[in-house]
Amino acid sequence: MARLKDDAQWIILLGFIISVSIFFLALIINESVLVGQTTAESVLELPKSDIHDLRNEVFRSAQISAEQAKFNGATSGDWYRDLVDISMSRKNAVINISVPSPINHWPYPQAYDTIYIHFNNGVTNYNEIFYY
Amino acid sequence: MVDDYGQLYTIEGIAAAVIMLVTAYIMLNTTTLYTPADTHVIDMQLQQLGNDALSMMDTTDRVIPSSQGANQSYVSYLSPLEESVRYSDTRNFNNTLKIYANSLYGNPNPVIDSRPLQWNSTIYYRTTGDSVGSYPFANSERNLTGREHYVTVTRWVHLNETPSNNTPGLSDPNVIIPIGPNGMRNEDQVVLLEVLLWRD
Amino acid sequence: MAKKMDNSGLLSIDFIAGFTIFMIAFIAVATLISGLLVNLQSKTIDYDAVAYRTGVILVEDPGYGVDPVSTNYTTNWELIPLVQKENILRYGLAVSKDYPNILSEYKVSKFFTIPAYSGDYHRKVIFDEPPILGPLTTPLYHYNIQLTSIENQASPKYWFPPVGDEVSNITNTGYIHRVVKIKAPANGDNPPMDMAKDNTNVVVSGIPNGTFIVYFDFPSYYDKQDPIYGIDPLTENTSFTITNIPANTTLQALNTGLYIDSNPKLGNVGGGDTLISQMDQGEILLDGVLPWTNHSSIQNLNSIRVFLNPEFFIQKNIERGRQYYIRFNLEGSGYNTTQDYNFPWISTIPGTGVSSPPLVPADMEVRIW
Repeated sequence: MARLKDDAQWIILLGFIISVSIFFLALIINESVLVGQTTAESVLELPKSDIHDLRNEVFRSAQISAEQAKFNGATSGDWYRDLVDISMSRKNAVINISVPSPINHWPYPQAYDTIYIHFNNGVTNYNEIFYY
Repeated sequence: MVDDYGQLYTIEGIAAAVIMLVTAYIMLNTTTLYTPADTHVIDMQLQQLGNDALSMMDTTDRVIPSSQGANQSYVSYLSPLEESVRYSDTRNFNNTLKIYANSLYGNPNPVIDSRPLQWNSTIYYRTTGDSVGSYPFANSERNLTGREHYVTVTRWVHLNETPSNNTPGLSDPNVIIPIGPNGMRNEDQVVLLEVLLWRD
Repeated sequence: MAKKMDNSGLLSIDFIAGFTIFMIAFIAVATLISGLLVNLQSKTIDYDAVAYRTGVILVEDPGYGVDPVSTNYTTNWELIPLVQKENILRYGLAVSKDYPNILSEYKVSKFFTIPAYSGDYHRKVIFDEPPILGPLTTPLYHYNIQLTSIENQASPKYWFPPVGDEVSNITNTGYIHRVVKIKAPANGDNPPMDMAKDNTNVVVSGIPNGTFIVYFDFPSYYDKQDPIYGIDPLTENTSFTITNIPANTTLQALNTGLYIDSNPKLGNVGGGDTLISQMDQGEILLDGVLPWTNHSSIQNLNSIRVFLNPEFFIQKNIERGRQYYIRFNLEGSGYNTTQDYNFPWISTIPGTGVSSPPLVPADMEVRIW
């Protein structure tokens, strides 16, 4: 090979490297902005009111049903299937409520009964054992 | 014919071309800045207010256990919201929601918010055929045109059929469910009140 | 060409063209990149987030503190004496965490009216922790918290002076508006204790004739009541009135006071019960107006009105699991003893005819700047 004048090789090579590194950094910084989330969005994301509302409704329904011995899934007059179906259809949340033993303590409360509540709207998963 | 002159020249040309293309691409890409939307704060405040108002409407103010009849217990008490839904009393619902959500307070007398809330609400129920039906409930003065930026707040409402002695505030057997369209079950059930809220 | 590769400093045209475009694009990108980083490292604090958090702590949290006597954690921070307020970890106004947005009137009145607490609100409500600790640190946030009951309700009206700094026309404030209900104090006037109508007139050995007894069955308050509809004398202000006192009756200081019921299972108060303390002066109004000073005997009463606040019980180390009663020695009334006039409580069992204390709707606004 004839001898080339290779005096400017370093400059050009470093220029290439520097431009590539600037490109790399700009790409990273560009995408990193998408990662952040404002606090207002995370507040909106947590279904705090939904969970409060669900607990309140389960408690109220259990009080009413305890008087009427209607807390089971066998009859069509069961409110917990209302909760499950409407919740799935309108609120995109899965709800499951189960009672290990029948509530039947009218008119005087005896030992504590338990209700299991499960709520999952895809973002938040909530489980509770409710002592009533 | 083919020799090794101009190697550096070629490399230089390729590098220059690559640099031009890549830089132009970056420049065009970075003009789309991600700006966090300010509307999220307003949505959060509005949603919190709506949820609070519905939750307070769903709380009975006063429990007065009746001394008549052994079947009365205070769980039969309907909250103002349950009463409004049960008797389809949209006027009462509108007035109460307006008072709860639109009052601000000066010192010491409350003033009314200058940009009041508007709402549009629907009741969703589970039909006899096991699907989910709906019927419209109360609206504020302004109708929903579909272009408003609204938030959705919901509240479960228990429609209770327990017979009462016609005492005000208790369940009334004279009001027979269905109170909505056909397909609504004629028994104890839970329905969902969905309210769309926006400010003018 | 080989001949061009010399050191005369001439660059090819396309290299210059490329380099020019590169520099223009690079300068444009550099300008835009400086704008990108502004959103990541913002100097603006999100005041709305702080206001929202403060709103949640006030309205949905009952508060938290360490009880100085028992050294247990408690949510009744309002009962911790003022001199030991360092034991309070967090101020919250809710009755309990299971009932968000229902506020306790006693907590609310203490929060808004006692100036000694307000120095703590930066640390214990707003959680404003400036980076440099020490006595000269200025807090980062100004705050203003207001609570007013909503008009047009047939129930007591609450208005408290706002807590915090004055709101001037500052544009960038964080703001949250919450709707709450305040659980008003219970009132044993519902129905009033009528000495003529409600007298059981029994003879109890060891208890002088004419004694009127108001009985506090504390275990029932916790077992059988709903926290937001029930009456709890240990955490709320309560009051009752004894009316229709016969003429020629003398209220004696001896044998009047708070007693503990040593044998509640027997169904009757016993003559051997010990006196916990006499009634203090500020608690009793005679005929609704005159405070009972000097514990002297008083004649010709029509009514006795008694106000009790939680400190009345707490300062005397009342145990929640025991029964207590207040005796009034009304000599000359012509009756023997009124047994077991229960201070009323709202039961889930039907048939008890007392109204719950009303829940009063109210607005709370929190501003942070």
